[in-house]
Amino acid sequence: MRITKGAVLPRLFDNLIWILLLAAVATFSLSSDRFLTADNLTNILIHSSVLGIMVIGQSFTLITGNFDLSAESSLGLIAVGGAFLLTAAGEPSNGSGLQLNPILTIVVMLGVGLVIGWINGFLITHLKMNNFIVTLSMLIIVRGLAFLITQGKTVTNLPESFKALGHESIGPFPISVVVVLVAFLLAYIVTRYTRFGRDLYAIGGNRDAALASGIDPDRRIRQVYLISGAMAALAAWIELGRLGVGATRIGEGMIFEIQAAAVIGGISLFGGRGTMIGALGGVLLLSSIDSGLNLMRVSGFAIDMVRGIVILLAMLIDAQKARYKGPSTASTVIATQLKARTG
Amino acid sequence: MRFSKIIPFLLNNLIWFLLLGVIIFFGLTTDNFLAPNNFANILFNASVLGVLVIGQSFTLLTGNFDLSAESTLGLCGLLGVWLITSAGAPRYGSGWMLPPILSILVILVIGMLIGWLNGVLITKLKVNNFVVTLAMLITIRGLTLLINNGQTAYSISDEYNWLGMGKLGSVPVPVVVLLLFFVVAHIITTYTPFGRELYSIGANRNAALASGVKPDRRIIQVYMISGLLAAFAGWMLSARLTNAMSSMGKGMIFEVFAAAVIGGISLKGGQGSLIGALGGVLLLTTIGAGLNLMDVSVYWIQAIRGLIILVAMLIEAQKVRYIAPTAIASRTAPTPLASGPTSGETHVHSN
Repeated sequence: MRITKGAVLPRLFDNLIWILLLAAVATFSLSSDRFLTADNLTNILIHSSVLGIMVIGQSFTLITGNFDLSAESSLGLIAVGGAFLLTAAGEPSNGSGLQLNPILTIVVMLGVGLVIGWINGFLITHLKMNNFIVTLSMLIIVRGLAFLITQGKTVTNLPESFKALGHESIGPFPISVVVVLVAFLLAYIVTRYTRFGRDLYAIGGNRDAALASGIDPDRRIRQVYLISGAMAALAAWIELGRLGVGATRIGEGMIFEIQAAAVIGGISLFGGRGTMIGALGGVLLLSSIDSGLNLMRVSGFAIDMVRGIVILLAMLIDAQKARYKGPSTASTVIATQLKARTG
Repeated sequence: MRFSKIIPFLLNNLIWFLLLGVIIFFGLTTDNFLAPNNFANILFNASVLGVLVIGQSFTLLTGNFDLSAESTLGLCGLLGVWLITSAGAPRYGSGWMLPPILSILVILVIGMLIGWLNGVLITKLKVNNFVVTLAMLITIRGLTLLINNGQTAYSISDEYNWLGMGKLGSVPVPVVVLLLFFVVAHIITTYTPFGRELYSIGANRNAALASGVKPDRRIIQVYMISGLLAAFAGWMLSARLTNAMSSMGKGMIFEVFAAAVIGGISLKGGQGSLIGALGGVLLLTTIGAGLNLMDVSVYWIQAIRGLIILVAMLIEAQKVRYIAPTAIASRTAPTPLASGPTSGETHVHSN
């Protein structure tokens, strides 16, 4: 098959994240012989799991043209709250003394995530408040609540059965890695092949057109915030298993990383563009860079900087792509879909 | 005043009524709140946040924002101290012992350069403003940590510390700076062609372009102002603390946005005034000070603050819904994005 030059560039651009990931892996493999080992790759995946779950939740909101800044605080509140419910009172556990059954705790954690998501969605769609303000305020309030629960103390001595999700393995595969990969696959299928998913892209692509074609944007937006809250609960469960303790600062500042991963993975901040598989690529890229630079004994302080520069470079290329291709192909796809739907 | 005009009047000056309400509340519930000393303290505490809010408001008026401001504050605050102090224990500086004036000039220039870089990436290379300033936030914080390996630097220079510790008569220098900067910024945004252009770019970029305004140039300029003021705030904070940690200013950007927005600066651009933003700064600082006096746990203060921002914004959102056709629309030009309050409207610029 003859590929014309005109077809190569867009194809490269569309798979930019995988090319970057490949380049990063190649660079690190050449500079450290410990990078491309099964152990290290498993480690990268384990470190990706919490970020990955958070990115899934965030991507659902991003696809509709919204976002959820409060997700990092939800992660913190649910993690420390869950740990609090599970453990004995006083030193050294610093728990509530309830020593709640792990399954019941997980249900409560999920419930809290859903309630936070519901409040976000309600304020944004029913009371017509700006999504930035709502989720920013929730970020502050929910973090405050996380501190209040234990007065800033770290909760320890979690039951082993509860921690399994974060640090046990099925055969050679850590459970958390299986969970995050399955979650990405499910999210991809839901967003790509269900009516619900197509609605999300349509809302993000053009809200008014979506409304005109019979979609209820407000309802869908409430649903994506519920998903974001639920994902924060799942991430909190994994994180507690991984860390083994519930600290009030869990997730603090993580929202920047979450959005960065989604965005370099190709999820547009304007909504309606990008795929969950791309977002997974973004997560893997950030985690690989961390791991690779660590192996190269780069100072932890420099890693942050390199990260910022990588994000900036990826976005620079992405911006040139948008210019080069003119109107994005995704919006063309959606326009066709909408036409098919209405006509 | 006719009754039908009272509600719009209240809503349009919401921030000042809230501030008054909060002051009355704390005045009644605590003994020391109404002491002049306490008010001076509140203004003193408001100064760093206030300077950052001014810079942010400039970008917000054009429909942009600058997430990286908190990291610029951190970098410039650290550099300012680092450049003038001796190396190693006990002060952990560079050992270069630059004269304070030179060090201050250097950090102000660095702040402007960071702003210039933000502006160029956004306008010339058409990268999304959120992504640019987010990446810059991460990059600059990394650089800050790198410079001093996470070590705190200590300043013993009275000249350098003057901005934080000095007094003009009996008034602390930061308070004078805060009020002076807000007045100047208000005059610039309200009474100069430059200021009016910022509003018109924020309200409708294409219309502004059509009427001869150069949006790209103005946007680069507002980012330079934001960087400059962030650097200045970094100097102010490190001078007040007489030391500079590499984590200085971390997480502050949320507070900066909150203050600007409850002060009435719209995230969509083109709306709000600098005096309103000052009101937002004072409200947040007053609440912090009042709750402190009431011996409220620091853990509560954060949650209560978030709640107040949410309530203020709730009222604001209802105002837009109910009096939009009359009061708001007549005061400001309609923005193209005003229709969909949930559709990523904070990223107005880079279409």
